[in-house]
Amino acid sequence: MQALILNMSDPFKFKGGAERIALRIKDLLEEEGFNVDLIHEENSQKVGGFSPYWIGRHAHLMDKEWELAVVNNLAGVGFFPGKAKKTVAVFHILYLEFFEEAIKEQDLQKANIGYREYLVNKYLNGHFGEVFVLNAADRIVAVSESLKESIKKHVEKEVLVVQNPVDGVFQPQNKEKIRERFNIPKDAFVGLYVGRNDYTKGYDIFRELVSYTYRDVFWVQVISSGGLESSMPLIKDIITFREVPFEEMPIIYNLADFLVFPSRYEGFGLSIVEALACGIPIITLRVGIVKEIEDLLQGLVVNQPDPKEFFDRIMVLKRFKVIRDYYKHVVSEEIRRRFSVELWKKKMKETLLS
Amino acid sequence: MEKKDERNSIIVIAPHPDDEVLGCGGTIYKHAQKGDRIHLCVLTDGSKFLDGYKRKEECLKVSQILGINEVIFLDFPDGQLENHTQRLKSALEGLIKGFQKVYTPHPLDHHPDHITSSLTVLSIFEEYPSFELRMYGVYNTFRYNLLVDVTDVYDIKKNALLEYSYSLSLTGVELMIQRTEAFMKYPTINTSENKLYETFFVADKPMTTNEVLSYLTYDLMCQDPHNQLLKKIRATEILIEKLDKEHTLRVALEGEVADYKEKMERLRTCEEELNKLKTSVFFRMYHAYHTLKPKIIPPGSLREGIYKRLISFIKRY
Repeated sequence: MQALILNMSDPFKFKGGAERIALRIKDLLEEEGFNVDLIHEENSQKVGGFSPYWIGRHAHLMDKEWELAVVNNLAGVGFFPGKAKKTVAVFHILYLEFFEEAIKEQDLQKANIGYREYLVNKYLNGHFGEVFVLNAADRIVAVSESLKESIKKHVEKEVLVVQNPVDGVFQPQNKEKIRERFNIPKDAFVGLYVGRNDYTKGYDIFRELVSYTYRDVFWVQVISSGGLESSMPLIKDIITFREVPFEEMPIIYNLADFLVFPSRYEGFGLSIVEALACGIPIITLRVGIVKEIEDLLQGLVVNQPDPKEFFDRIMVLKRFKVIRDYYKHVVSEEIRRRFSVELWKKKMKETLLS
Repeated sequence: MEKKDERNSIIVIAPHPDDEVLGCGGTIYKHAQKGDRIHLCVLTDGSKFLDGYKRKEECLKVSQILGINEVIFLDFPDGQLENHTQRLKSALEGLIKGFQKVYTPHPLDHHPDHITSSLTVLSIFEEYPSFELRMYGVYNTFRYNLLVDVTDVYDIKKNALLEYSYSLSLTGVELMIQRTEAFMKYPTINTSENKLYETFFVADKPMTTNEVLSYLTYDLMCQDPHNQLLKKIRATEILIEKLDKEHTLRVALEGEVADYKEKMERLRTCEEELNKLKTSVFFRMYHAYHTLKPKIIPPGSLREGIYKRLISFIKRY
């Protein structure tokens, strides 16, 4: 049996959330006896400047037919009408929502996003590419309920939800030992930021927050790459890690007392469940998966992208160690149960193969 | 500013002198009545069966009747447009992009020059959909999406046709008038009103040639989906490019306006300061001194002599 996976980036090189899921799907299909072709922008023939088109086109022109094709986000644009018996589109984010709800035209200047970049993302990727894939795919999968709701605004089709899993390596570890390794005081109250240094990830909020709290919190930031072209200047006088490999992220989460996650838009928000699986409370806006796990977040969900709201919750976490312990002992286990790889495999298998 | 005027105008592409009247003479006149600026571009010299020079003369007279502002003759050889598609495209590309509406024959109008001119304009529209494309028919009826009721201006159209008596002499002008009337009546099957119409297919959003052909043939035409997709992507990219340029221009102009506003504000502040100065006691005394001095001490008078001596005495001690 032949299967095809189309992904924007090479998942063996760049391991973002969507790439890790692409590899998991590849493993899952191989376990089920499929021979899997994986096509991405680096191993496909380039035509024009719109890579989602040439990735799908490359597959379309191959002298091959597949039982099943899985297209991640936009990567399927050039594939249709596909030479696969069934095509499943897995959506991790939606540009349509991102550039209509999270970032509006009037926000571009403060978000440091160029007008052309905005137009390309909103119209070429969103209204053209995403709507095309949504209409053409036989089955649509969203990684969270909130993403499903967003998709339903644009297409009258059934949308299935398969939440991303959290890897077994994300679990509570000995904080003191890790801090010793990084020369961080054992008794410090350590706050963590994980994400890109741009407006969409709320780095502006984080910057302001650091200026309010530098006396109370020992800040650590983990800066990742990818995403939009625009970025903001990095905060220099706090501990900074750049592009930490996925395998080492559990250590980073575990050195912190809490994670601040001011991202303005997420399709899922893998960092949220990874941090919670490590027993670290998170302070976040109501994005991505948050709605589905709000029962575990105990008032740590912030309604407005306002640094003061984040500050208030940080102070509560600092004052009450009991809350931090609750996350370490109770929430961590519950998250690992709800987002287990086994559960994901079962749901994804049903979705892809039924 | 000139460019902006041009964008609000229309251009009619006529493969031969007379096609513009046969296909859309009434509509052209209605545009003229509204004050639109109208250009006519005649593609061929019209010399295959007749004297091209005489036909041009007729065309210029008809242009006056219809209110056309400018006529451009491209002088391609009549009946051979399909052998000059690249040159034709280059000539039309620079010409039509700046107009708001472009009229051209539809691609199923059976004369080869009509088909070539239509497909050429369509390929420009596909790559640069900056104008509204309006397709008219001369020979063949077609699937339209716009009807223009020209009953009230038919007399003008008829006069224009009569003016083309030499160009239409092969068929006979009277017979052509009857044929044109019949052509204008075929939409009444849908409207059930005894009126005369000119029909158009209007593309007011980016469309590929295949999409237009597909519409005109009720989706019976076979399409290559990948080609369609690629063309749509290119059209979208071109529009984004255009929007981005306009945005850059707008931002620059807004910056200039802000600068001017700031300068105006500074000027206003200076004016206020000046007014304050003018109303001050010192300024009023100074003003009064200089107003009254020549009256109290007239120049060249005895009083002025005494005054000057007094002043020099004070200065000395």
